[in-house]
Amino acid sequence: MTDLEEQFRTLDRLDAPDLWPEAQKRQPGTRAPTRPRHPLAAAVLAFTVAAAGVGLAIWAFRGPPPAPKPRPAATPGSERIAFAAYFNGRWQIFSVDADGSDIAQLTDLSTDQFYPAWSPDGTRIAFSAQGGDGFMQIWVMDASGGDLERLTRGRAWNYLPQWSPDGSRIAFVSSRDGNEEVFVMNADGSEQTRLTDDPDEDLSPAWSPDGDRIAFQSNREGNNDIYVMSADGSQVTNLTNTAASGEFDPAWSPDGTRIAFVSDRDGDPEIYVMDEDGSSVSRVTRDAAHDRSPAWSPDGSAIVFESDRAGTVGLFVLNLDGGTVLSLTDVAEACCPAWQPGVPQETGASPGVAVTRCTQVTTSGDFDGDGTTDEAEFIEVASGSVSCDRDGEVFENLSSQEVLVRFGSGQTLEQPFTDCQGGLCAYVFTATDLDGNGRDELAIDLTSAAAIGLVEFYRVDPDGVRALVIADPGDPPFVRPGPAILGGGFDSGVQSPIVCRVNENGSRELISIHAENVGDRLSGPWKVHTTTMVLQGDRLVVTSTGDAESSFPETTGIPSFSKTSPFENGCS
Amino acid sequence: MVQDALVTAGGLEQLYRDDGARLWRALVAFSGDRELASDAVAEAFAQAIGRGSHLRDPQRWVWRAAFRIAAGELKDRGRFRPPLADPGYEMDQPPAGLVAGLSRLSPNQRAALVLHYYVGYATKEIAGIIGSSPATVRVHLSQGRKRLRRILEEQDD
Repeated sequence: MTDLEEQFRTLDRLDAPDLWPEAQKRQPGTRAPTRPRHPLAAAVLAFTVAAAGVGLAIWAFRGPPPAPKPRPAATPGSERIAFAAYFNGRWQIFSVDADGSDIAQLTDLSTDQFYPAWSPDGTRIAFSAQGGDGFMQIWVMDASGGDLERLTRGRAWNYLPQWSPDGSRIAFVSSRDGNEEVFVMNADGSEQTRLTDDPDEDLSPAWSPDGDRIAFQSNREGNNDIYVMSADGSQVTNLTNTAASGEFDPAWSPDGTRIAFVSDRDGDPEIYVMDEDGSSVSRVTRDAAHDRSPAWSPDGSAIVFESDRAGTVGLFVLNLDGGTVLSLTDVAEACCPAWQPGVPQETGASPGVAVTRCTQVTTSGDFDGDGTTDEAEFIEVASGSVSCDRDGEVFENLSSQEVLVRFGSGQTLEQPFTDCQGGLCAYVFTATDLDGNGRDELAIDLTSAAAIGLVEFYRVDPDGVRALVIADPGDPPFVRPGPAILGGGFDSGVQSPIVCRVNENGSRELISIHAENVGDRLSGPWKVHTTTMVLQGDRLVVTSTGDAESSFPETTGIPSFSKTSPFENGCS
Repeated sequence: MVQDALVTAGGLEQLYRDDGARLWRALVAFSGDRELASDAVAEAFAQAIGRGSHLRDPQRWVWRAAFRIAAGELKDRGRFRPPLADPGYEMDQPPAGLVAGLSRLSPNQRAALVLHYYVGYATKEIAGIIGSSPATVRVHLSQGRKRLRRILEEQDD
């Protein structure tokens, strides 16, 4: 038997070059397709630094906002959540009520079991079991762990089962032809048919609720993306199409309109939701941990997922209405949850419980471009009777947040806002026309306990508020990851003002400034990072980044920026 | 914050001193190409320097970035370049057989095996680097291990 560890230790015989000098002098991104440096970058930097140095109003420095108080997860029905957990040295299948109670072990086999999947009537569970020969095979059992039946055989990996919505078939992944492909079989294991045929790996099939399509992940274009195909394997479409990030674990919402998935486009795996055609992508978790394996609640109001945010990999429930996340179980190592289908439950506040709506901040602009003024409000909703002091901020019993827009046309839009994850939010809430097309965008500061000064931009349409997409590295034109990428998650504690500049030719640029103390005193010296962006469609494309040191010679303390006028020049 | 900035400035160089050679060798095993490995390491650290104190976990970020850069470059070239194509690679060195064997695995299997057996990462950490889930990494590891053993044993025959 070949000792692999010994084989890999031979790599130590390779003499590694010293690449640190090269890394220090290297301009990041020089390998990738680049775009000429923006000619206005130097002028922009001078302008922004001057603006910051002269016109600074003090932004009262607050400590990190208090952590949001948890609220109940989505009102659970009688459904259970199946999952795999590491117990007594092996991975076995368990189930638990959606409120975290009544945990039960369903399998007690000598090998590892993963990937439970409920039949649409909620009575059976398909799962993957590793056999004595090392290969995984698909089995089914009833919801209590009895009546075991094996569906696949052979010297290949058969795993990741997903039941069709009518219960007649099961999609799964098999390596029988040399690499992972999506297959489908009848629910009794007969008529196993290959749906995908590609030299790369196709994984994680997920049926659309109407049974017509199957979403899956594939690295056929070099990195993992979410694809969708007809249920017969034809008409394959790449829904995410990102060159620089991985997208995986698709899960179709029960109403068929949305797909939850995982992406690491912002640095670490988070749960995202997009429309079923790949549009309107929004991030629904925001945590430094790895969030994966989303599965929808039957009523579509919540998503259960696995995350290592508590140290070990456990299961959490995200309430999409309020953005709150609660731990489902305290099982130390758990993965791959699946929510039992069931009758949708009524959600909302319990009868008799008062709810207080506090308008924290308002702004006005022309979001739909019809020439009339639209009014936007950021509303915090608290359970019970609380006062709306302190500019409407709710410090206790915060249950959810909303954006309300009253359009000049008479239409009203009221939408839950989950990007703040239940934390304090919207210190900046401003309308601005980033691209000069006559339609304002909405800037919202997503300050949270984890990061201060994040401003993200949203497009406001009569049917919804959607985050603008920051272009990915590698997207044309090339975006170089820099220290002040908008919404990128820097956490040094100094505010990042956003300045909008209108150039002489009428073009508009968005400039993000981030000051970093690189000295040993509060007075500095400071390094000022700037990032210049333009809006192209729904994408904010970074055109240049720059650094300048010691830019606050007159400053004796932490440089501060204006809360009320983040858009210093022209775009407001 | 002042402390953070100071720690970060020297911290990345220390990270390079601690991890740079290991990362480079892991990338040689992953790509079969010393030049590509050098480029990916230098680029990943250059990007980390550019991000300064904003990286939450510089070590994890650098490993992930370097493997992504290398994987992207391999894709652009149209697959794994066998060691013979690299004039700087001395084929009589023992890792040559291993690298040749790895070249016959899928990129994810290759990355999982290198990160597990050479670097010692657990499945969760590997998942973070290659952008997959721990459960899937376990599958890549199990499958890749079996295939690599068979390939290496064939080489010995």
